[in-house]
Amino acid sequence: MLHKGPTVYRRIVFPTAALEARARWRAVNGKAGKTMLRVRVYYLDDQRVREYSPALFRYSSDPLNALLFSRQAAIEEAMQEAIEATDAYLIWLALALQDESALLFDGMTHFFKFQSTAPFASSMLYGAERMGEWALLLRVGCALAESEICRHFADSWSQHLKTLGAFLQDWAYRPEERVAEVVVYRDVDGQFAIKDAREVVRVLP
Amino acid sequence: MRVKEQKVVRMDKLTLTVEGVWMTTWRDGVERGEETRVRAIVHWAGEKPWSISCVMDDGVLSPYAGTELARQYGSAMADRHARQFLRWLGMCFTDEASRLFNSLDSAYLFNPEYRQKPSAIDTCWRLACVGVIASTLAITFNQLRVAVCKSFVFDIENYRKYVPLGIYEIVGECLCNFANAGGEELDLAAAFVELAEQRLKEKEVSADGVSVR
Repeated sequence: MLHKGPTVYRRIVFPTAALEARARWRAVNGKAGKTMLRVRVYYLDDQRVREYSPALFRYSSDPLNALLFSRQAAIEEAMQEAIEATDAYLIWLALALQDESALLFDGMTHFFKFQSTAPFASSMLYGAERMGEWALLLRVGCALAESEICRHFADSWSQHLKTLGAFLQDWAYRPEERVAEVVVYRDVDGQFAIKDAREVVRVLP
Repeated sequence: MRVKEQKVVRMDKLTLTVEGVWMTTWRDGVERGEETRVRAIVHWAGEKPWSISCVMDDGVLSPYAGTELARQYGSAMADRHARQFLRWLGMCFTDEASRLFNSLDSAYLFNPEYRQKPSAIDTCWRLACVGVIASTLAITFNQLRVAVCKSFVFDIENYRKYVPLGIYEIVGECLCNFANAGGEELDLAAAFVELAEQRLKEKEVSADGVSVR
């Protein structure tokens, strides 16, 4: 029986800090499963790490442990679930960086079923609770991106934020790897640049 | 400065105290801001009480003409937020998802549709605030619902009598009435029976073809 799936990591590495979103599926009471998302901020200059409270992506009824005949299939399913969690985080972060409040709101409220049309007030509350946890993690991502870009690319920083958002929106769906990262850096001309650094996976503090 | 207003709801073995606390906040040795919290204290008979709390409102300190005025303002804010919390709790029982959503939105303005160009970071912050309040509401709601389920209301005879009226709807209505009236203590069991009996009478009269309304 599979108790824990592999952890999926997605990182955005800025010049002096890195944002890491990590997700993992795990079994609950041996019957259902749940996928949690954690966000860490690494301060590269002074080798500090800050981790925020985890947020629940979703519960899964038992599709993974039903695959007892094949452990490999169960692991792949678990990894897929974790990838979906990190994808969701990056997509919403991309929308937030592009200041697409309406799209972000619609996406989150629809996913967490925090809507005025919800059949029960109690289920709406549970949705709001989970959505609040995610909103806090998104705010952490936005704040870090904003402060890093303002600090290192002060000229037209808001434009750079939007560029990063657009890049992330395309990038989020692409990586199928367990660990993937985007690097925000200064190119040879000293300009703001972003690249997908799939093969350059660094060891963070 | 710190001002507290309490509302107590009793149901069978549960005493739920909803406490609105208004206080000034200090930074760098200066009184700069104000904050209103709601704390729900759950006390089951024979068990140790526990509580959960959330920040309902915070901001820049309002300029007061004097200490007494500040105290009055704080008391009004604490009372207002405690009542608002009870009203939302009532809406959870009456299952009015739409009304609850709109009420939360008018308090925290999280729906960007009704605001002019809100920034996404601001929207995230507002959603996070609502999430914390929703979490506190959900826990309190569950406790009170358990108390209702364990009470005389769910004895087989009473259950048969009251279930056509909608037990949770009546509980919700009692909570909303209490919040609107602004009392300090609610005996939910007594209020429930009173309202349910009134509804039964209305039902009997309307079944005879004469409406009392």
